[in-house]
Amino acid sequence: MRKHRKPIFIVAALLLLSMLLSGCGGQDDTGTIKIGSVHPLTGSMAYEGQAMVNAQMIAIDKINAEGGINGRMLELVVRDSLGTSSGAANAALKLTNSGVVALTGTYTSSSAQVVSRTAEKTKIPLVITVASSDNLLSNGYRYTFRIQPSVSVFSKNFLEYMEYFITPDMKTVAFIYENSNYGTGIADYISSHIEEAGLEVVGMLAYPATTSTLSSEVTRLAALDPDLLVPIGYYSDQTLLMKEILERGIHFNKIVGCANGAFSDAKFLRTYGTEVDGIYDINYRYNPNSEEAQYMLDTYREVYGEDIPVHAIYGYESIMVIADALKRCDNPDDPEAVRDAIATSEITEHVLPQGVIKFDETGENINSAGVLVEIREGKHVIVYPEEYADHEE
Amino acid sequence: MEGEIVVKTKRVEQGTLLILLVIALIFPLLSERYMLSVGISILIMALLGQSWNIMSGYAGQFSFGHAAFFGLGAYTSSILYIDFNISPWVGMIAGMCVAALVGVLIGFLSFRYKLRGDFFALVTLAFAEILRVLFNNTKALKGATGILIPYKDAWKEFQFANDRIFYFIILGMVILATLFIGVMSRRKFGIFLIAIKENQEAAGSLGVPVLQYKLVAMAISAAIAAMAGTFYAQYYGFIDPTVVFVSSISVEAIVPCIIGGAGTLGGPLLGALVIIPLQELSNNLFEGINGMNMIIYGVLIVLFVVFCRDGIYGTVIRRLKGARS
Repeated sequence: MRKHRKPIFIVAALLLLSMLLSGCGGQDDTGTIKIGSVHPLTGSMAYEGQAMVNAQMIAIDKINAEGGINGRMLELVVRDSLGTSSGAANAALKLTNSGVVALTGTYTSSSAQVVSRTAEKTKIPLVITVASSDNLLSNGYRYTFRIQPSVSVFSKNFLEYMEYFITPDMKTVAFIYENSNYGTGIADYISSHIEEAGLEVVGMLAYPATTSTLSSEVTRLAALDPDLLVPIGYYSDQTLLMKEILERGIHFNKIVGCANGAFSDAKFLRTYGTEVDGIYDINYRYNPNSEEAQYMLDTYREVYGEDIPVHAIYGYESIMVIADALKRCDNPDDPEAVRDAIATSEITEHVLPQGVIKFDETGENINSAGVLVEIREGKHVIVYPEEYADHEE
Repeated sequence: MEGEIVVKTKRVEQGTLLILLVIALIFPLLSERYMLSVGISILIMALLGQSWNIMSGYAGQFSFGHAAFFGLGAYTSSILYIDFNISPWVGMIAGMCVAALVGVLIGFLSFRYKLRGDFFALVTLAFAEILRVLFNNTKALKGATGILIPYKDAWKEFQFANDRIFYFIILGMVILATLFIGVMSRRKFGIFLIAIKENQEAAGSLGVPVLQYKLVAMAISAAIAAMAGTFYAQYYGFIDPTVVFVSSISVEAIVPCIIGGAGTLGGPLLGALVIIPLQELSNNLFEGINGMNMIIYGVLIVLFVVFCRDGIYGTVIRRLKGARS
């Protein structure tokens, strides 16, 4: 009888042991200063997550090469969020356990919600790299900060920058957008305000980002023939959309994306070249006048062999914001002090196309903004606002 | 002879459960936040596993769509809480009722048209997908934006700053579900369910009210999944259709049963206790090699399906019986 019970005992004992071992984390106050990074490194968003981490590494190396934080080196501790809520929560807690003084993440809004709650509970500051959902900072959390423009900021930018690309003969507008939080959020916001500018919304076409065909949507768009087409979506689905439009030779008067995952991407241009000339996008971008941005672009290309994806710029800047706070605070090992230092950030030298990086009381970057990019001769050119415009050589 | 084996099996079962209970009770005292969070992940999976176990393990009605019930639970309590300020505790009960009703509806429609096995599984999968699309596109149900549960530390709000309380709540739910199944499986109800699984026609011809029992099993199973859903929403603080109605949740209900042993009392518990720590452990050991956890996960499932069909628990029991015969 005893013999048969053994396997279960052994299994149970081993499991308990393994779990206890996995929980051990080192903590040292004199060595490196650790910053945690929670991003999806497996699954459908692995490419985006990895790019984010790559850009963060460039920032870390830059700071360390310049002497670190008052002589102490920075270390990025990376953990896969698995793209799920529970994965992100476990990852964030594992990082707080290994002694990080700040967290960064998470690329998706649902994970960001979970990690910001973790940050609040563990009292460790979180700087959001990319997660655009509007309600992210509506909790009154003290420990969450966001540099990137939210859904409503992007939408407001769109309405503001419209004066650049709108012409008086434009009467109708149609939206085609992926149906999650981000696509729906932007499409809803813009469409409910665009009529003030005298445009009539003739179509709202939502599709799931995982779709394998947009053929019927494109047929409907062709029939609607709007004066202005606004596509919002991720890289693969928006590339699919353009492929369908180009293959059928349908011509739209004007296409202006908003935070479009494809239009502002270098890979997109490599695929379509000058075929997509004349398309606009309001999106993340680096500041073309910043020397530091040039350094970031060159280093990324050198190290990883490709152009930095635009969202990853915020990964780079998140590390810079935290490093700036660490340099200013009395005790860089105390997350509370780091939090207070981040809250009082006032960063004038940065890579983003915006004014000073400064957070309001909810943790939102008050000057966050996107820029209007036009594809000209197979290249991205910032055309608006004027102060960040690329000036042709 | 036969009686002796039954007694022995029973002892092993009780022994295992007792050990698991002791581990579960000591565990939070030894661990800090990260370990607690892992513990909570294990227990959520165990609860989902037990829910699946009733309907699919005992009654043999294979479901691929437990995310439907999980999501309904999460959404019912969250909408009642956010829009009507009803305590999530009450919302949880409401969610369980909604899920049970939907479960009965799905069951009635499927069994009425004599769907079985793979076809029934596909119908459950379809229902989960329909709900996901429905919730994603209905503004009144918060659409794609999802629901954010505000964080307030209070019992009434089902919110705690101390994760240990969350741990003990989900542990309590798992214990309740396990006790319920344990008692049920020894009574007429459980025996009828197993009879239905083994041979529906034979059971029916011997007077087992097949449809009625299958529907009740579905209702109970759905209600337990909904309970897990409410807990998930309250603990993680955010739900949207792509979080709760996705097939990965349905898979999370099935996998612990496959690894641990479907149709056994301790199976889903052991399964969850293997999978999540393994995932975390591989994440810790292979830092920098992304996806290692997935590879291990995949290999493990293949190995179990090929070599250990009854799961850990089921295999032990079978060996025990086999040793004598």
